[in-house]
Amino acid sequence: MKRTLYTVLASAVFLAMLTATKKRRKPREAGSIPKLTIPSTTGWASHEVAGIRFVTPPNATVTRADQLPAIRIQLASGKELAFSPTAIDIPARRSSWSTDFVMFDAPDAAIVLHELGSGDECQALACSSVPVLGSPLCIDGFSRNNDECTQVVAIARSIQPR
Amino acid sequence: MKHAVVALIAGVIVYLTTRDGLVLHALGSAGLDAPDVIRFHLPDALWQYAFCMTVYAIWRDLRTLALPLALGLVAEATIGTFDPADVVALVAGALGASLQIGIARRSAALRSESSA
Repeated sequence: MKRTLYTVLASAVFLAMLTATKKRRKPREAGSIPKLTIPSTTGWASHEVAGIRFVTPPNATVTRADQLPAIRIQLASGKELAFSPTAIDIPARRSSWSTDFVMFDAPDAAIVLHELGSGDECQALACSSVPVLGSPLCIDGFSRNNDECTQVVAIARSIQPR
Repeated sequence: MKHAVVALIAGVIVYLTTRDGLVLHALGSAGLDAPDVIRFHLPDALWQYAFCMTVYAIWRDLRTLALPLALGLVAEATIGTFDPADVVALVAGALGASLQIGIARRSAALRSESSA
């Protein structure tokens, strides 16, 4: 009994030591951040919903709605996107990120890599090139898949008033 | 037990002098340059060696070394990064401890034979 107790105590002490020497997550080097390219939208499906026109990648589905923020775009993976109810100030948002983690950078769109404890996630912020109802229509989407973030930018850039 | 203490002190010295960015470095770091095998893997091996020697000191049974090795591997998979080189270091630490115990037992047996 005494030996079992000592063993438990010793194990606790050794595991505590291991926790104290736990590696903090190492920041990525700038060169290891992939630079992304926005895909061509040739062959993508065109949709006309709630006074706007836009394209979606193959196998994506669009849930129609009367109000723009209620429209849902479901990508082939099941990832769901929605239009932002208000315009996004991309330059202002971008200035709050470390440039090491920006994977795509343009005046109308940005894709940034977030390192989370559970793995990397990309965030795509993209707005239409032309105003819709007075201001650009934007999408703010998160994904574990970098390709989906580039698709978000392509979708947003394709938005046109009908 | 003496071996365990020496191994632990050596491991802590390696951590404090050659590494940074660890929770332990709230205490400070010397930031010395050293090969990766010393910086990253030697402390793991020393930790495992010390853990095995401590458990052996309690039980005096070589079979009980499986417990610290198993705990080390589980901790490496959960708290650590499960880097294959770290796993090799942990197994090496446990093997080093069993080798050390084997040598100590043999020399003790030889001593008792010669004194008899």
